[in-house]
Amino acid sequence: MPDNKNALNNDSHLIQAIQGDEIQRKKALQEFFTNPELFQRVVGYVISQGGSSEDAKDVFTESFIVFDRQVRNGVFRGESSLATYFQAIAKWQWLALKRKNKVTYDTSELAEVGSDQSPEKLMITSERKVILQNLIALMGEKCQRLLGLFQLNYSMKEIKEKMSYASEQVAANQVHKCREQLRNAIQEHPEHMSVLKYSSD
Amino acid sequence: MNDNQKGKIESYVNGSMDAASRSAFEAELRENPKLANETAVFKTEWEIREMLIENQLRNDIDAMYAQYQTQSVAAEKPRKKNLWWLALIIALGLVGTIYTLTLKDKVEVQPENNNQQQGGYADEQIDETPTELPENTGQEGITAEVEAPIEKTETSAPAQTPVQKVKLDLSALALAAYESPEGLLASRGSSSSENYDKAMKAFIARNYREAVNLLKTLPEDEEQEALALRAHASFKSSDFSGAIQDFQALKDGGIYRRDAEWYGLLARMAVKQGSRDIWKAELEKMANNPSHPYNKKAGKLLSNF
Repeated sequence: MPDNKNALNNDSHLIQAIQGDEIQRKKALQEFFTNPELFQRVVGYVISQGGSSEDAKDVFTESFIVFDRQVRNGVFRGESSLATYFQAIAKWQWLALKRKNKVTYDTSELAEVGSDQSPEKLMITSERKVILQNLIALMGEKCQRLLGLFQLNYSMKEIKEKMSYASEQVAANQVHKCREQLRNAIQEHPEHMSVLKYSSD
Repeated sequence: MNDNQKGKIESYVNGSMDAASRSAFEAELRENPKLANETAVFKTEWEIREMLIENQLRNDIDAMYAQYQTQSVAAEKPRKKNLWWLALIIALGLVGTIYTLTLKDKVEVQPENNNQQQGGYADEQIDETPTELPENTGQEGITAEVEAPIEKTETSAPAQTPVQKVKLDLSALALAAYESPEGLLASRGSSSSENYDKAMKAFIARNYREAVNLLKTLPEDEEQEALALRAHASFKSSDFSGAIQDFQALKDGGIYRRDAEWYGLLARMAVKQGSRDIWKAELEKMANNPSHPYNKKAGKLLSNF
């Protein structure tokens, strides 16, 4: 029991850090690297399945990206331990990597992650990434930074401090301007939107 | 569009909406094209914002992974050093054998000395040659002879260890400083070359080797762009010599010249091609040029020298 309590404390601490500011997020990532139940476990799993250390790094990266998104959007509710959940995502990612390399696989051991939460549903596909990167490239560096902070739920006060704006109002105006710029770019490229419409079904 | 609808769109897009509400919302989407269009725009915007976070995360993970690898290598080194103890044991064995042989000679000579002593030789000779009790003298002799090499070896080994532990691996730092340029490369949009487009898709899907293979022959009208893409794909697939060659070609001129200076240097550092002084001089040149797009990054890397 004390172990479980400790694990819960660690889990909450990590989840809070992921939902925190950039410094806290980096600390959380660092903890993923140092916790033997997380990074090292993923590496061990991939290697035991015949993958290379480079595959292991890729699997870890993709898993962390999915997990990070799930935590920030409240999809991960802490119903299972963070380590168990993360390992289940990593297994999915490993299978996705193998599928990319056209190797058959068995999904029987993946019951821990419900089908509605499957990382495949949450990942942005490679095709779409090309489109999105094109749209990102249309924005300036400042807007990219601003919208990244906005997506991380930074308050206008924090954005003002990070970007050295004179006031919170200026920060809000800048965010609004960048969002408008992006939305216009999206609407000017309906071919990009059509991919999204179909894939969201 | 009211706030309630905006809230619904957001929770639908980010996946936090429950299954029942999701079905209801999807039914609404089918009946309301305006709402469907607004949702599609929001979803694209949301995904782009997520991609911005993802790009940052990838860079952070690459940097931490490089750091992790450096630490792993540093942790491996002391283990390798344990071999010195094996060498030491062998050396001790050899010294012991030599001493035993010497002692054997001494012991063989001893009776003569004792006989000489007994025979009334001078006292000062006994003081100078402490061989009255051969066993005791022999032990003292072993301690003196054996301890000297132990002390010598022990003092030299720990002196090396901390130096290697704190020494920064510039190669790993160079890898950590590399930032994937998907945004930069994708800025060109679609191309007239089918292979270039395919290679770009392969690069973004992290199939770097495939990207390199697709660009074995460079398209004539987009040679510079394709060369830049191939250079980065080579770098990402750890084919540093290929990357060095392509970045070198880009350095000779064109719009990617500055990028090639920075990334080419990182590739050379990654495989330790050139000397520390040469890398330092190149970094200083970039860091001291305020108009160089990589001057801040160069300055940061330079601070580790």
